[in-house]
Amino acid sequence: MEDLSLKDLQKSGYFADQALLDVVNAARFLNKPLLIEGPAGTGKTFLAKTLSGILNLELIRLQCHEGIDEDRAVYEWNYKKQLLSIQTKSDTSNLFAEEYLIKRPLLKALTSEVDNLLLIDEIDRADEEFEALLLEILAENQITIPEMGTITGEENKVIILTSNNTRELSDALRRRCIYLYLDFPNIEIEKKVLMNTVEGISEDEAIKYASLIAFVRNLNLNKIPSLIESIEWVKFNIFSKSQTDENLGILLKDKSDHKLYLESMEHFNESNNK
Amino acid sequence: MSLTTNELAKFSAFCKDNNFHIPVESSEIFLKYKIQKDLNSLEDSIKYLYYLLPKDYESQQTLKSLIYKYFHYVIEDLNSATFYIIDEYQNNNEKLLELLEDINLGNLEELERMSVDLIMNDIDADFTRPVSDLYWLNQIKKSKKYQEFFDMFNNLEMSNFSELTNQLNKENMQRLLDNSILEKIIEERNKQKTAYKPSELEPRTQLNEKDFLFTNQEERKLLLEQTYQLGKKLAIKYKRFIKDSNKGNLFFRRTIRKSLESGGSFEKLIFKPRIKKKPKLTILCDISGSMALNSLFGVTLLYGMVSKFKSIKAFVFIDGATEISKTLRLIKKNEIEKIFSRWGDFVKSDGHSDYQTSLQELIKIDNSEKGTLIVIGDARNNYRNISEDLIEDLDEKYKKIFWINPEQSKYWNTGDSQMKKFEEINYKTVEVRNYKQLKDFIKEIDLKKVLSL
Repeated sequence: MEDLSLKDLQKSGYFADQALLDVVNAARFLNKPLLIEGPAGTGKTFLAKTLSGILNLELIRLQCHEGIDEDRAVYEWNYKKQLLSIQTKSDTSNLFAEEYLIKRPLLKALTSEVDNLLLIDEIDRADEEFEALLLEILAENQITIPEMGTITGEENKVIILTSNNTRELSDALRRRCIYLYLDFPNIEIEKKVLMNTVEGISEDEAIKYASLIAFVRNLNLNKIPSLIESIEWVKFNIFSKSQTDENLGILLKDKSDHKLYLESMEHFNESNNK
Repeated sequence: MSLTTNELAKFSAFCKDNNFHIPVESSEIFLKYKIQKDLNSLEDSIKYLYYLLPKDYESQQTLKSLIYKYFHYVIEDLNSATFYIIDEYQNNNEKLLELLEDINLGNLEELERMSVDLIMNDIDADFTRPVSDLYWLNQIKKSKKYQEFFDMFNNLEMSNFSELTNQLNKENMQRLLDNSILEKIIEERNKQKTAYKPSELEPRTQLNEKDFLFTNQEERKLLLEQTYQLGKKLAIKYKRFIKDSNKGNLFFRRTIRKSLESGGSFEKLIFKPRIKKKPKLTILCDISGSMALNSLFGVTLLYGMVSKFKSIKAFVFIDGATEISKTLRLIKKNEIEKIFSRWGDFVKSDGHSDYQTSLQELIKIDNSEKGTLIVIGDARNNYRNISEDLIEDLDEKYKKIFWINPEQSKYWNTGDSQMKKFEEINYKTVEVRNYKQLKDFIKEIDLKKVLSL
């Protein structure tokens, strides 16, 4: 298995530093799930998508939410089909065969013959009990269905879990993963992202906006602008060829944040003019 | 040179001494990776040690400091660059550029030399005077030399957009230098310990175990954010618990209707939501002078909980209880400190903490019955009496009482501390002086046991 290089990532539009890549490579090499934690909007899900693109893996996504359970995540029996077959067929010996099984993302990823990447998104939103359900597939690469027995998958998949850290994940889950903390990008990386995604931006402008955004993130804001928000803001500014305070709503989504931003920019300009 | 297994064992023993446990399984994973990848250099090995061992952000930070202590090797974190190098520095000031590049590479010697220089030469400091370390820092900040240094940033000729980056660099530099100076001051004062310092004022290296009282501004910002998250986590725990116990009797009509989809067989049972009294949670925080910084952490915890869940009630008190749940819900996270500037609103008579009156008032205002009460306070009552009746009333009003005391337990019941009286009726009394203790407390709360009616 070949290690990924920064160039591979950059080709598909993901800019990062070597430390991140080392962790990803280690996780792939050891064949262990990767747990990515960090604030919202730092590119956790996007990293998974990019990896599936580069490594040519089929992306299977499980979006977690409160109250998610086995039926939605692993498998479910198709009751209606079972009922119908009881009524039509005389032979009802094997009602729990594979044809009556509805595969949900986890089982789908396990049994898929194509190489795949299983993305378990925002695991912290699911209940604590749900984590226990994941342990078997994370550690042993297998799922047990009482009526059918144990299904073991091939080692052809990468598993990525993301979390926004709204809840303490259990130690049992953490133990089985490799940990990566993803923070907001620095100026260098933000610049590269802007150059890559925004059409018609010059390098000078990219540096200018990148440092402005770093400055904004450093203020004592209620909601720190995410990477996507900053890109959209710059996109619009480049398109309309002006930077006005009216379109600030793209970047900052809180009234008191607007005020703070305007005040500090004014303060900054004043001190410059002196 | 490579990292030998022997040395790894020594390192994990070293970690164990510093209250950081490395599981055998994790070391195994690391060794497996090391052998298969044939990591030769020591640096690489340490780097992967750091990548593969920790399982959350806090342990990552702890491990980082331990590695620095043991191997004297600085790990570059993701997005670690503290300073952004811009081209304009090259034309203007080579000395500044060198300094910034040095610090980015993890070389802090020059910074330390500067802070020692500032402490030794500029002010005639008598460190035995019983004032806080921050007082000396402010003295140094006023000195000419300190300001001259930051003029280096101001005197550069720059194009407009680099100004922002320059500003960021300057702020960062200021933070780093202040921290370094503060460290040196603490070191210096510890040398003269006999005059003033009790032993517990020694600087702790790990932030988690550092007392709230002795954190500097930057550390406090970080810890307050984490405390807010803890409050949110406790609220979510509470919310989930309530949802769990919400299932009522069978909802017959909807179950039958649902079963028609599958030809009359009951594949899914539907239950009525049970309407019952929600368990009540009340939190009370002492914000009087003796609590100092601890009350800031207390109120941040309240904020985290209240903003997430409506039926939690928050009170603060000095010499009379005031409900602030509504106020907390209206303000934003970065406005919490402003509450303390409205100190006058909470003072009802003389401004010294009075547990007797405050708790009496709380019993009157709080309309919950048989709820749970969490008190954050040091129980120092300024030599006022606490009556037996109050203790009885409290015991009757609340089913369970948790008491978080920010003082060291050996100082409880000394002087005007009345901890003993409350301890008798408390369900649990804990000492919380730092983040680690707070986290452990919240982790251990078993809401099922505590709140079930």
